[in-house]
Amino acid sequence: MANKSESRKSAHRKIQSDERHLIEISALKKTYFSEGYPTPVLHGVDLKIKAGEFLAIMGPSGSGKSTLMHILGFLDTLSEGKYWFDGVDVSKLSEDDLALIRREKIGFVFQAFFLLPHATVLENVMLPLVYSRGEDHHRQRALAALEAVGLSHRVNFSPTNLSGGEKQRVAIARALVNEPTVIFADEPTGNLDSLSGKQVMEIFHQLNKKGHTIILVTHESVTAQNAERIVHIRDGLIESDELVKDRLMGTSQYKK
Amino acid sequence: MYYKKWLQYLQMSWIAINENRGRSILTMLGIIIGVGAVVLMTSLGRGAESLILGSVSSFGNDLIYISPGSPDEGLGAGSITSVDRIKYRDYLDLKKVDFLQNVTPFLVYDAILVLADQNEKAQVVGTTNGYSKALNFYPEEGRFIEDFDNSSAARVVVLGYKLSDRLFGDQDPIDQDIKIKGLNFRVVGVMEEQGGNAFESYDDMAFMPITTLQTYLFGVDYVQTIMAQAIGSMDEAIIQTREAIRRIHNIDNPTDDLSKDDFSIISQEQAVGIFTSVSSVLTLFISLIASISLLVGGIGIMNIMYVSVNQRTREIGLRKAVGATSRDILFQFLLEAVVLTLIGGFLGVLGGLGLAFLAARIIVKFQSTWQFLVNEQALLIALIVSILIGVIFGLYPARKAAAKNPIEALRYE
Repeated sequence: MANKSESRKSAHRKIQSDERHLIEISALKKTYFSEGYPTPVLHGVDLKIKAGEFLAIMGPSGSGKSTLMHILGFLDTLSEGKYWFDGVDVSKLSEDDLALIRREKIGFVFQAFFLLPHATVLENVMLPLVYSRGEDHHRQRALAALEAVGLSHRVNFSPTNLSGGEKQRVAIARALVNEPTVIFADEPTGNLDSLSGKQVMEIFHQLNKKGHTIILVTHESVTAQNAERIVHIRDGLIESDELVKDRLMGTSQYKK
Repeated sequence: MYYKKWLQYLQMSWIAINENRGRSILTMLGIIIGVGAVVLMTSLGRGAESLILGSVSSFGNDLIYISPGSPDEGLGAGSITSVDRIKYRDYLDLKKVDFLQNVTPFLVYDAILVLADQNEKAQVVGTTNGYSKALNFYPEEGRFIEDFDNSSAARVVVLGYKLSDRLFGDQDPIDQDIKIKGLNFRVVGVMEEQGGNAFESYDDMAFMPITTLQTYLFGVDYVQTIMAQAIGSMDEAIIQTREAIRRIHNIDNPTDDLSKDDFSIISQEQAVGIFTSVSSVLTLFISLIASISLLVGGIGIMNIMYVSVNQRTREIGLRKAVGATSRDILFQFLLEAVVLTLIGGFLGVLGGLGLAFLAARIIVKFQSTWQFLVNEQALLIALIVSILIGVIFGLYPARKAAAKNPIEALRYE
């Protein structure tokens, strides 16, 4: 495993000069400390993601996939290693800087939706704009995002009156509203029936076609099949990294 | 653009407060009571002050009052043992002193005035002619009490403006007889409409010769107080009066030890001063109690904000995930605490003003010139204090909210 990782690292450096990636991490380690005792979660992960990719990170619970997503999505900081985002070294940024990147470049979709129950659908979608220093037209932008997920008719509803699928589509609209570079989806279909799950995944496909980079975290292989590339994580290390069509054809690992 | 964020915070605060309306109001109660008490007390204090100052300016502040009992026994009151120390003859002697004018004794008696089948309760002031002059208060009709009324203890009475109106209405009261304690008294005058001073309204009173009151109604030979106007320096007049009474009472007091006297002298100015200091001590006392209420209220706010922060942990996580900084979260929760205390402050101000207004309506029934006055400064201070309490007691919960790690907050169950 260590050798594999080493060889990937050298390949990685070569590629870096040839082609720019949106996300590039190398030898990333993350260790949590609880009551003074270290709990290592990620043991040295290398990963490169190009703009416009639709990537799934798969792994059993406890594998470190969520931690990896949190670091990639600037919700958490790394312990060791390097992280370049859009060519900028973001390994050692302050909390406020991370908040700024989340605000401008990242959208999140969570399994449990996390909608504010006492605000309307529209107000929920406008939430990220509250913190942006951007221009006006918040309402128009939120309405456009709701149209993109097919919920124009639910604008003034309370989230409590929506179905699970609709709630998740509101959450996607909220993730879209600040026109992020990357959308992270953490088990987005985990709380949905299969039909609603399919609809949600269809929206992600459309967003990807429009150029959004989508990073999906899931433990369900059926959901992961929607992506064009699947990265498997186990015990804090990348176990495999393959293109979906490659794998369907039974060919080798992702190389680029 | 920036104000939009604050507008959003404000809206969020309102949603959070409104969502738990009952709990919010209970939380605010300490603030409401504290602020309300301060507003009520300062408003009443202002009303009383204006009344006292009004009476001083209408009567002039050259008046002095001589009361039985040494100053140790309590100003102007006299104890049971000393209540009879000032006599009518002291008044006759003081009249001869040339640094005083309009020297006049008085004695007050609560009586029921009867005219045919009509009864009116009123205070009857037994006094002399100087009373009218010293207070600059004259009859509108007929005459006031004259010296010859006192020397013969004549059964005559002068009515206050409203009292006369109540008893006689449109009829002419002059030379009519009214009964007090079964005895006939002839009405010889009606006073001009006066309003009132701090302690009584002259329009509801009756006046008669002090000797008549002593003889027929009270059965005593002493007077309550002798009032006089100082000529020239007030301090000098008080010193000279003091020495004169000591001479009359045979008090040997070369060290000027006031506790050896059986009388006390205060000026109108001092009386106002005493009232003002009593009222400011009272205000201070109420403010202290109010500040305890505000402290308890503040702790209540802190407690409820902690609960709110815990309940909304996932909301905080989400807000951070979509780009809120720790400062954004801090300000949001701080604003929520301030909105809570400010609403409490507003309700307290409204409640305090409402009670003060109600109190004024009630007092005016007994004291016609009482005014409902608002101490604007106190209102402003009350609202500023409300905001400060929100900031002080909201700060720790807000910091706790701001310090939450977004991942842990999102995972919070």
